[in-house]
Amino acid sequence: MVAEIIAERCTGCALCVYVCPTVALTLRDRRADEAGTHRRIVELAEPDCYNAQNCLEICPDEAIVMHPLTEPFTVGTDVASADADEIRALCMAAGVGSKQLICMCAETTGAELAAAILNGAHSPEALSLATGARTGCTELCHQPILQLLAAAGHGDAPRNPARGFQWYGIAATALGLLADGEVADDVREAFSHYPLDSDLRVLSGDFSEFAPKGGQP
Amino acid sequence: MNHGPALLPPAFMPSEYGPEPRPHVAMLPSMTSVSVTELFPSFDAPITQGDAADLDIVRATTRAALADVDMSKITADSSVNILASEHGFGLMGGLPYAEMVKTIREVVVERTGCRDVRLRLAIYRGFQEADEVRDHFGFDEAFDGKVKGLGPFDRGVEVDTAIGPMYLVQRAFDADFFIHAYYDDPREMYFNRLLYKSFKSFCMSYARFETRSVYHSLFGNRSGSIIPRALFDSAYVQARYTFSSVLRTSPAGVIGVDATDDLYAIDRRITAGHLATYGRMQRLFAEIGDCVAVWDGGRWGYYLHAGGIIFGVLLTNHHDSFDLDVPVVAGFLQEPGNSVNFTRNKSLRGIVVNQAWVGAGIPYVTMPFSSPMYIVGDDQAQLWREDPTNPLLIDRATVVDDVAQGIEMACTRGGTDRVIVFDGSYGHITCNESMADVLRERAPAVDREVEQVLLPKWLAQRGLA
Ligand code: SF4
Ligand code: SF4
Repeated sequence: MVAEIIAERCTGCALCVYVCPTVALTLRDRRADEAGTHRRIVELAEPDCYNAQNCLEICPDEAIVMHPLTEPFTVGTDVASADADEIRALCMAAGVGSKQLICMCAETTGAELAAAILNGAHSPEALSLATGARTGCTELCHQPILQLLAAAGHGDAPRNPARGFQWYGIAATALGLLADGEVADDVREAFSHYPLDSDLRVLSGDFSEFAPKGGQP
Repeated sequence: MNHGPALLPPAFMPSEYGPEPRPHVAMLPSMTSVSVTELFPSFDAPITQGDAADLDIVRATTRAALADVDMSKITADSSVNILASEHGFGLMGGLPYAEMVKTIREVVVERTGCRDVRLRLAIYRGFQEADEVRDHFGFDEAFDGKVKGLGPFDRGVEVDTAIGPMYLVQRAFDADFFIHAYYDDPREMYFNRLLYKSFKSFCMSYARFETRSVYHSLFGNRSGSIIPRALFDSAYVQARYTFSSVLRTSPAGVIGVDATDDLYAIDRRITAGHLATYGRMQRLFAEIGDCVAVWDGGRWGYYLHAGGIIFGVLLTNHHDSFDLDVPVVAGFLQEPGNSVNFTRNKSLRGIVVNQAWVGAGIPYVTMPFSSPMYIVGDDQAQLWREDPTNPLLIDRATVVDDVAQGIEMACTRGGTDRVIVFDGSYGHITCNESMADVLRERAPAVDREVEQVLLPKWLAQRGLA
């Protein structure tokens, strides 16, 4: 599917521009031959539209519709296109598994995201364009992507557009509760009856306790 | 055993996220209903199972619950957001929750004289879905047009918490005060583990993607509830919080409303009640064994109920979700050597989609690998083809002409004759006769084990013994 802008309904409010994960939408002046009355109108770079539909949801004026693509295309980065050791090291530094499905919608693993970063995708939108990740539910993969970028030294990518809210910063994670490898005292006190030591061991990759009973993992 | 005809599930809101409403699976002659109170006689009788005729009772119950709530922070000149979350509108068709929300507004206006009470609908996709909810439940009239949707990709606000920065949705908190208008459906019990579930909206409904992503992907599923608690306790949220009003349920239906400014107290009451009721259902579902599930309702298939339990529990719940000695029962954590880290119930031999929303935010794209999917009708198949969340699912599913054909194919291929229907029902489970026999046969032993062994342990693990 690909988005289409209904010119006469678009008021140029820019909300869609602020939520498109692949930055496929930009604002420009309305041409004299275009329907509609507002001075500004949004324009779509069709090849960059990956059917996330955030634009469609947020548009207050129903100025966006979706159409089937005439020529569907496949998106992805070949994991073999980057050095396997570098991929592993980057995933490890970011605290994500290389085989882990980070984007469950586009079925993108940590390794594929790392490969795309190593190949030059240095912002969340560039990573989405290179892998298709973060264009489905845009939720589960959000923070692991920001962490991978930060671990690769690209945590300072400028927001694009500057007023957009496709993403903010990195939120606190469980591993941040550790001080020198141990659960920080104030955290332990504040959240007293959580099995924090055990959970953080699992999150750090120690699965020795991971023995679910009576089931079929 | 004699089996009577199946009861019909509650009516649901039509939506552009699903196909045109079609006849329910409960109308097939092979279907029957098993009452949850027949399975577990200790469950209290509900005040409603979603019937529109019961709304006066919901209204009276809400008023009674709010009678002693301290609303002194709110003045005639304040602005107040009532924060409602979407899954409440999937509970028994949504009418009981909508009635509670409208009643909260009435009582606040009566008691405080406040002229600016708004409704904020925290909805996953954000806006079009919120418009559907607003129109279907008549919220524009009830709130003088002061109704807005909000979603996870809406403009955010960074909030300092005891565990570090988190991101909330600004529009949820764009008033002087807010009211947490919630419901206690335990939904993904395998993930929330019934640890502080009453707080979950603070890291999901009212939160940005960043926060939701951390909850799902970067915390264990025991310690994940630290996030909503940290947000709830933050200075930003506490400066705006007034009180909570929670629609109480059991697998039998709506059992009341709990309201106070002490959300921790509400949570303790809910948790104790849920361990005794949903805990029994959870263990019974783990006994089902090989089966085929049918989606037949007006919400995401993942969140459709059968006897108050969502499909997602059957999909994932093969361990005891409430036993906190087990670090992870299902979730997004990676197990070494296992690339698919969302463990699924291999006994689920097939899923037939009679009617349900498409993915619309819920990724199922690899589900047909473990449980083959049968989607009824070309019109519904087309919706799945266009779903942004599951781009390849339709290529991995089978499109069938009608639901009976889908059930037949799923049972034959899966080698099972047990069928359970997730059609939004509380109070009973819609299923075929062989499934009904299994449920009735296993329930007494589950009942005893929960009462004598599991419940005391679950309560003790949560400091509630
Ligand atoms: S459909 Fe998605 S990718 Fe396409 S323009 Fe809209 S938000 Fe961007
Ligand atoms: S959100 Fe809608 S009205 Fe606003 S700029 Fe985009 S298309 Fe135009």
